[in-house]
Amino acid sequence: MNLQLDLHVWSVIFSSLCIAIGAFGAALAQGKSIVAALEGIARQPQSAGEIRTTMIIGLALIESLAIYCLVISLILLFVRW
Amino acid sequence: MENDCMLNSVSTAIGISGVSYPVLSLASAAASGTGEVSASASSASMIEPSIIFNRHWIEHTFHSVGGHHFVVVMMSLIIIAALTAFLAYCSQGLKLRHISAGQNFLELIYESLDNYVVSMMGPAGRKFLVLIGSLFIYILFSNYLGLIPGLEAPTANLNTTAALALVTFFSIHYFGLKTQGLKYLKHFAGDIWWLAPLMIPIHIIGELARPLSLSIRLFGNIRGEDIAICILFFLGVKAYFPFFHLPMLFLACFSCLIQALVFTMLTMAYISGALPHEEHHEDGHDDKTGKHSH
Repeated sequence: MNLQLDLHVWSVIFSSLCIAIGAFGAALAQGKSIVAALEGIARQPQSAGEIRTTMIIGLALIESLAIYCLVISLILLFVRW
Repeated sequence: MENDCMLNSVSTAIGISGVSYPVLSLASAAASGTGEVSASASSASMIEPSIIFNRHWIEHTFHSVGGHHFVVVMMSLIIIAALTAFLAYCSQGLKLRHISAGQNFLELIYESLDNYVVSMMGPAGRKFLVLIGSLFIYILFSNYLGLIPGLEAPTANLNTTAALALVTFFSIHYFGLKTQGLKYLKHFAGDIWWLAPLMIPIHIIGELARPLSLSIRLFGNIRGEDIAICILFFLGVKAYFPFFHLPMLFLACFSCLIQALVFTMLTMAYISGALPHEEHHEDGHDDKTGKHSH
């Protein structure tokens, strides 16, 4: 294997690392928020609608972090260095 | 593309013309580092989808008209023309009784959008129904357009989503200034007056981050899904089993709806945050069925 990897290959490696770490963190955070929302709904089923809308907004805000990672990795991949 | 400046090359690369390059030549680039040039070159040429991804077929047809933004404008025009024609057809001869199927369908759409807006903003939010509903329908159909082979989602381009987010941004501040007047500007300074030099830049950055996150969220979701579908499809073509992308397609059908919901939901949350608060509590008391927190 050639150790003298060029910049393109480094960008491939680190873009995949970027999206992997970003998806990891976002998945943990979304799982926590969904668990909390489900517990809330199970405890108070009459307020399920409000909890659901708030949860979706929160999920969107969390997911945007993973999407930023996706955009960064797309830039790393698609720009010809 | 090599000599372009940074921004231009970023936008070009994420645009339609750039999709082919990484998908096809990633393998060859990575393999050329390990010295397997010939094998990867042959595999790359085998799956080369030049007519779809190197240049879009609309750009092939209308080559003289222009750059890669032409496709996005074209797809937006397709959406607008189709929706206009459909709505004009359905809204012919509106009646109170013995309504036609088209009018029935339009009333279904209107009522569900109305319920959606009222459940988020209260009855006072009904005057924003036009804005929210237009955004929702346009984003929803734009997202779904990308799932049709050969067509391209307009929201998979940062320019479209940035335009939508700018509409949201200006409408937030317009409605805030219209309903609260100069008191709206006062809330930028925060509650404690001597913290104002700290709070004003924080609030301004927070306001500017809203359209940024709105546009990049929509763009990234839709573009990421389209790229994932495309990669899985060509993986399937390479394996003589072109159905690998079907689960991703079903996920995309769901996620397109979710993204339209999220965009409009955040728009409504921002707009109702800019409205005066006293009005909200009154609405909460009026609307006894939906609100339990007030």
